[in-house]
Amino acid sequence: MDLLNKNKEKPRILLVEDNPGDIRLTQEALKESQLDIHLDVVSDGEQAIDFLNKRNKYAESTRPHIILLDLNLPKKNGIEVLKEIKVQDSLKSIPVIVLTTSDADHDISKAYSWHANCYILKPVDFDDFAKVIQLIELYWFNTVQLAHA
Amino acid sequence: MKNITFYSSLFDFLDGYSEAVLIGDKSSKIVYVNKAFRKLCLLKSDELPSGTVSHFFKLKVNIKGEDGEGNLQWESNLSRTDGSTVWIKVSTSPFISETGDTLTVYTLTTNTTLEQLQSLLKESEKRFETLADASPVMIWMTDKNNLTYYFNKSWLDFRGSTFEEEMGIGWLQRVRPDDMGAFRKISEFLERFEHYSCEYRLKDHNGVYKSILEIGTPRFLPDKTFAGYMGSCLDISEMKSAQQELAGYTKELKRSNEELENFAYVASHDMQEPLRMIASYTQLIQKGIETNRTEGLTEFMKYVTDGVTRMQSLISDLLQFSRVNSKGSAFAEVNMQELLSVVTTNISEKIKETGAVVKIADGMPTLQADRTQLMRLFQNLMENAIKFRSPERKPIIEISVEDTQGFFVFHVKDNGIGIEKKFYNRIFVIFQRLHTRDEYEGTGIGLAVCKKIVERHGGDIRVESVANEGSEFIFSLRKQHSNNGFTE
Repeated sequence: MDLLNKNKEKPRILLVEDNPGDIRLTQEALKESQLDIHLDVVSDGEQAIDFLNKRNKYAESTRPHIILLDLNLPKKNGIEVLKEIKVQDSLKSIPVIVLTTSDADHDISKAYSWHANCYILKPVDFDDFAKVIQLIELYWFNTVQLAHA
Repeated sequence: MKNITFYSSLFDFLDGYSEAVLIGDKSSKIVYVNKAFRKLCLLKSDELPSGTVSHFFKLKVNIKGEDGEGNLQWESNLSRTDGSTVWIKVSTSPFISETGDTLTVYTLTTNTTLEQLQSLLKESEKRFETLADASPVMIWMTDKNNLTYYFNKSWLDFRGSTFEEEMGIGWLQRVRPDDMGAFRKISEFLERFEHYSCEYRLKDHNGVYKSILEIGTPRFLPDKTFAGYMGSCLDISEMKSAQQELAGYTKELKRSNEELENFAYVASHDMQEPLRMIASYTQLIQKGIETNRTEGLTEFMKYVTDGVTRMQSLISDLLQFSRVNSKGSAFAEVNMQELLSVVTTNISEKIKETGAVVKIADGMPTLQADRTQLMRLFQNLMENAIKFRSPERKPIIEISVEDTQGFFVFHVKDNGIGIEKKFYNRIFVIFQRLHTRDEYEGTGIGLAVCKKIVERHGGDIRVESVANEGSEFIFSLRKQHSNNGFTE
């Protein structure tokens, strides 16, 4: 088992998603998993940056272990959020998993060129969606070693 | 007739003579030709040509009369043994030999006369001029100082001026000043006596600048010294404007294709979201029913109906957007005062709910427009003003107009939450939203529709705003329309 569990630190995910339906689906999917995961949710790009930098109403926020990032966001879109995370020394070690409906080549290549850690399409089917969320947990919290903040 | 003693050594003397000489007897039979003659006629060795003198001079022109001593002069084309001819001048002098025979000496000079040269030159010039004047291309020539001394008829016709006005550098005054750079460039070629081509605009006889393609070639004298340039100019205006038109169409087509591609991509993306919600939540509901777990079912149901509603409004907004250009009506007189009161009535429910105040300034004009689209434009803007109202105050919407040159400029001002400056442009882009769905419902199409309507009316739209104080949408509508609202 990995470092997180050894240290008994609760895995934390920051979900950047503006669609309440998707937020609820992610919560449902997490319910079906074995891990006790803490999920924080912000619903636009600016809030995401504030949360990660502990600014404004997110002064008390806790640094997430991984970030699930939607691309189609109000105010600041997903790619802009990704850029800001990856150019900031204190944030760039946090894995960013792009979770979006966009299968456009330019979105995929832009995400990777801005150092997205992986790019996943939101499945249309709930069971598939739940499977994706479990795979993310299994990979990032049970398989790989994450960097300390 | 001269009495010359016929010395036998005369022939020896004549052989050394540089001019061709031929001697004929009384009956014109050839009795002697000198070396120079043999050379001129390409005769072989010492044999004497048989036959008479007239064999060599079949043609006699410019015959000049007897000087009283029997001397004659004429010009002829001498037939040579190889079949070619050479133009010569012949002088004859008769004399009586020692033996009393009457002989005639023919002296042949091959030097062409000055008059002949002049006439040849004149003929050549005439030929050139006829050719040049018959050409539809403008032709000119310059001297070695690059001053123009010749223009053909096409040039003078194009310019509608006289040779005197054009000569030297006169024509240069009619070149468009900002095209003079083209001439500075070709001066390098001129210095090196090289062939060049360039383009510039030149005023035609109507004073209209036309695009000219010029090609210049240096001329050299036989001794290789530079004599000036000769060149041709072609009016390529029509070709140019056709090219430009084509480039314009190509650009527009490319832009419209890109827009369409982008639109199709974003549209399909945005439409998949509600479908995904409907599919996923019906699945969750089904699971709940199968496991007899009623917890959350009402909430899941809400996501399904939300998805359906969202899908409906996306489809209707998209239709509206795509129909701005394809299903627009022809432009007709629209009374803005009347139109605004209809729009206000249409949204009276929302006005009543929120206690909004609509102030319409005096002096609303009548203009040429698509009435239905202007209603849509004002309704979208007024509904936005109410939707994005400040929670602290009742919405006030002020509509005013400015009469500027060529355009009516409308202002739709509110006292709502305002828009940050960095979003001024983004709000007009389709599917771009500044707010999450739980804050403000919307498809992100409304202002894109407004922009498209304004553009169809030949104007543009922008926003100015102070956060938390309000926004002001400013757009122009063209007063006159040449195409009745439809692009050809």
